[in-house]
Amino acid sequence: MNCSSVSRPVLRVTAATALCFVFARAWCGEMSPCDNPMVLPGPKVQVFILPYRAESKLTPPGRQLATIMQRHVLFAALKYPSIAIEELTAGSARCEFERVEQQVVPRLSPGQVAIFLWGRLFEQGDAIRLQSTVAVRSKGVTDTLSWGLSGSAATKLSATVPTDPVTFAARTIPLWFLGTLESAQSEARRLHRTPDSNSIYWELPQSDEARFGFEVVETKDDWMHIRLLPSRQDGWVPAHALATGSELKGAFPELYFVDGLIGYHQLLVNSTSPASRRRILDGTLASFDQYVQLSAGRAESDARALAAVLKGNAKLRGQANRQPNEPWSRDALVEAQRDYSDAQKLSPTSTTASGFYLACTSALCNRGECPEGADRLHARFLEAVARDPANRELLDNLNVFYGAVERGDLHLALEEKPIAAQRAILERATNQTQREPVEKGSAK
Amino acid sequence: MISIPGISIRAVRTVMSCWLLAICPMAHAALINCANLNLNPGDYKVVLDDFAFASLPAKNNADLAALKDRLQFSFNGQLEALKASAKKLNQNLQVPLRIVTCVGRQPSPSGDEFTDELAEHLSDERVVVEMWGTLDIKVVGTTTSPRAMIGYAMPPVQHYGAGETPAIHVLVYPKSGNAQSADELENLPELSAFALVGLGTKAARASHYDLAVWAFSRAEAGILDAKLGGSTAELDSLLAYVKHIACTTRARARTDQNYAGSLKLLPPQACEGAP
Repeated sequence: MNCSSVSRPVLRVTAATALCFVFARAWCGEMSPCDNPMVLPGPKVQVFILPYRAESKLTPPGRQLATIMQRHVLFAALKYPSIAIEELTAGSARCEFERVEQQVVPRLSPGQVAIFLWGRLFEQGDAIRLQSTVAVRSKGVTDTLSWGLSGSAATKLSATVPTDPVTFAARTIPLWFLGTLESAQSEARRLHRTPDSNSIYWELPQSDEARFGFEVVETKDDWMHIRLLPSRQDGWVPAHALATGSELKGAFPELYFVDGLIGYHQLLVNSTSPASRRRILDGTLASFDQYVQLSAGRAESDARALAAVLKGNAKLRGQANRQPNEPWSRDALVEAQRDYSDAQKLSPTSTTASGFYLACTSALCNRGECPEGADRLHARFLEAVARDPANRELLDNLNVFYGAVERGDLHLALEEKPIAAQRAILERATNQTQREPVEKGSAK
Repeated sequence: MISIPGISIRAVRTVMSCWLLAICPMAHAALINCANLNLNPGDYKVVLDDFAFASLPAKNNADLAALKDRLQFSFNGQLEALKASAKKLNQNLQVPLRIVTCVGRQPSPSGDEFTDELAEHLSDERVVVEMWGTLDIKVVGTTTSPRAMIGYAMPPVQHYGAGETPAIHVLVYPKSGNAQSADELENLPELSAFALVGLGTKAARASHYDLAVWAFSRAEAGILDAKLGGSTAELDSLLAYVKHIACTTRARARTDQNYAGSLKLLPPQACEGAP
């Protein structure tokens, strides 16, 4: 077996991957440059890994790091049931997220999600620095969760996951560290004849510039039967080969975040079995936990808070045997509320964290699960408004909360102002023209 | 509307590349005006000046050159984050924020040129923060170490802050704090935080209460992140200032008859923690 006989340009531009075999076999193996990325019709989650931008001259080990990072994402993601992954190639122009996004999003189908990962590299002396950014996009749909009060569809609070790209703090690792990853890398390069680590295997080329396309033709336990594109050579790879390569993920906790993010969006795929959903949920929660733990002390509080929010969302969405539009179970709400509370602690000024916490807590209070009392919840609402007074979703939720108070579904012991007066203020606030362009010259 | 029209990362790097090309004068001459400042007068602005070597030995020091390159990598990341924030700011609140590069403008390391008169002028030009840097060799006994002194001036804070908090911050990199990760010692998360403090101060002055308290809130998050790399008395003071002015801004909004926003919902609050 000589994979190196595949020409380098072909390897570099070939990046269609993973589980597209059912839906779009014709796509697999086609070229996927940045200016024309493939969008497959079947997979619910599609990951686009953009080439990391070098901001200094890179040595071979330095170039290898980007490949290793991307391969970790690739292998970790291949364990999911409905996914495609593309390692994009830059071509002549720089591969910018905005350019790829414009190419991809209009071609997404309803229910499909695109995850983009890109970054920057800088090598100096015996160390290399890497900064990653990840973003999620879908076509015209926001990632919004709703919590009904009093069982009425008209009295729902909602919270939306922001679409802002998540940028992680730059990481630095010594070049010698790459050597410690060799074991996991070697395992991931081996394509076994049968799903058995003792079976005969052949190896993918080790070139740090190689880019591959993978097609998963079947899975068995923890093994994936993959076919290399376009050569059609195949073999079995253990899905955990790099997923458990915790050394690199320890140095780059964002790999855990990305893994969790992919799992989170896999939970939206309704066709998976309960057992599969449970496995995905557990993996998702574990990945976000690892990310939060390993990124402690880093200047990325918003990303850490978002991880906690997504944990809470995953617990709600992963709730077993729940029908669409059925209220969340009490236990699921309590679990999620704990995560949203953690998110607030990780980023006390984050409106995203407070928005999810307030909506979830309101639903719990509405069910009588309100140990702090509705007055404390009201105070928290006002604290959030005090930080982000123009946030429409927050104001709408507060209005729903006041509606529940007026109907007697929630009880405030200390009403400093009549609820009707507060709602009148809210109505004026949401209609006011505060968001018009700032008057020029008025600030002098 | 694109919030940072015509200013690309590459353009900003042109200024930063003074380091690489060593074409910047080493001495700090009189502060020249920034030619681009008058463009789009209604936009808020983040001004990026040249960086300079403090001396000829500094210019020829390899370790200092290496530090410069590492900081530039961090700076580029901060700049991209700032661009993203500015874009979002414009989308959500229709507030245009531009990055203006001022080639050849080199304030002194301590920013002595930022007199009250200059601060007023820059504030009127809607400059929310101005950033510059000096590269130097620190000598302690017989040992030398490279360091960069990055200055941040917030003209609105200097002009309107009445001395409540330092309006000029000069941070030394690498920091010497007790960061959990050595990486944080050479990160520069302060730029966005300082820009937001200046923006909030300016907006509060113009009675744009919603924008002001949002900016202060996000600035608080940025300052807390910056403190992870090493807390300083100046950052602590700035944090106290931000909390206090956010509180007073909310109080003003509550009593302003011309304001009809959601801050009217809030109960009266004593603004404790005044600097």
